[in-house]
Amino acid sequence: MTENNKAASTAKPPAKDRASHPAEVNETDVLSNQTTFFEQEVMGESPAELPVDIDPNFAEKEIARKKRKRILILAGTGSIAGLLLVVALLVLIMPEAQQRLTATPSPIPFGQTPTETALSRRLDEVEADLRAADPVKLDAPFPPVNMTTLYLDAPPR
Amino acid sequence: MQSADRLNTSKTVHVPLILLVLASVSFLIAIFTARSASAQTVTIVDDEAPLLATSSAQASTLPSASPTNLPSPSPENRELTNLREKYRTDLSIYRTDERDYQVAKEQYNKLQTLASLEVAVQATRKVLISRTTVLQDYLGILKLMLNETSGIDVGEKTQLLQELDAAQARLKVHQQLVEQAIDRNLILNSVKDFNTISQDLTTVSYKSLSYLSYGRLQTVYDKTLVVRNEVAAQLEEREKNGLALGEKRRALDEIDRNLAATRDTLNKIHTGFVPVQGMQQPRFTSESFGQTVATLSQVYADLLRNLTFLREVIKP
Repeated sequence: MTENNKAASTAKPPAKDRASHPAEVNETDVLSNQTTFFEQEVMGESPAELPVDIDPNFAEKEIARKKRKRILILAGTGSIAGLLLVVALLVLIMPEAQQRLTATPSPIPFGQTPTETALSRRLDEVEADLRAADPVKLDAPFPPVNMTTLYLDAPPR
Repeated sequence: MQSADRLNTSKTVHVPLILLVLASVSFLIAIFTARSASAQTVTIVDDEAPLLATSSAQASTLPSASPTNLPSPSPENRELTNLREKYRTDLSIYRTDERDYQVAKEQYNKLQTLASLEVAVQATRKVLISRTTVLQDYLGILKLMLNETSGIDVGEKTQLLQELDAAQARLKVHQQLVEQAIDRNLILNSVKDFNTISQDLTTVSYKSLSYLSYGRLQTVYDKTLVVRNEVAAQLEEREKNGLALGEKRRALDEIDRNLAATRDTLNKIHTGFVPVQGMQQPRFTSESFGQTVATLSQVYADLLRNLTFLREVIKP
């Protein structure tokens, strides 16, 4: 052990004493002692925190605040849902805008007179009838039922 | 610490609100979209429209089917649609019954037990009843279609409708017989009874189909003739250019020749339908119907060509 260390050990009071007499540790001593840190202290022996003033109604106030918030959320949600419902009902009930269907004259092809257009339309109609009368596409074929061999015992010929 | 709590609380408050707003916006958009879609959609389902043959006089006045002017279905048309629906249902029932009948018959042939015999009798009875129902529906459809088809001689049409009525009545008697057939012998009697009427049923069905195919094309031929006369009248009235008039007259002559050939073919087909004294009675089978359809297909092609020619003539 060196001399310096010895001096330090003599200069530094035990931790217990320091805690009980904090006024005894002055800055000059500490600065002169090169082996200790300024404001050093033993772990777990920090000065106790001063008691904070607690509002006795704090919990009730907090509960009331949360309740108010919940009510606000519920009311907001309810009002939005109600608004939606009203809008939906309005949209559904509202009469549809009636499209005004007016008979617009069909455009006459260039170079054709109205008579020619009428004849052309007549030809279209006849052609549509003709296509509907295609004999290959007759839509009522004989039913696919067994007409001959549906029996339990073969009937005598 | 407190500020973090406040942040969390505000988050929990805001997230549902934001979600609610988003949901409401999408809800409104959906409602407006659905509304506009329903307003714009116009569905036109007119399955039976081609089956409506109209007289040439009516054709000129009838408005064309368009979204703004939908033809309301006639009661006969609705009846036909309903009957077609019933026919489809009954046919599917028949198919199921026929499958069951085949299984039961096979089982009986294998096992030869009284229980399997009973099952086979019941399955046969069931399939015989469903077959009769299908045939009844089919004859009803043919009757309605014939009623709606013009282009058939009124006397012949009436006679054909009477034949269909008689066939339906005979089928009804057969159906009663089948419904009473609860044992093997009665089933055999029902089968024998059906064999006596099956030929007539087939004949009257194919006869109706032949008349239907013919009648529809005859109607179109009549209409084509009317339009041809209108085109000729308009041509004489409007065409001032002598050269063009001569050209179009020659075109009309060609159309007339084609139409005359078509008329001859149609007459020939019709002659084949009508019984002539001292001659062999016309036979209506699936084969004869196939031949009729082949000939009528030629008529169809001729008429289509004539309509194209007429279009060329009315071009300026």
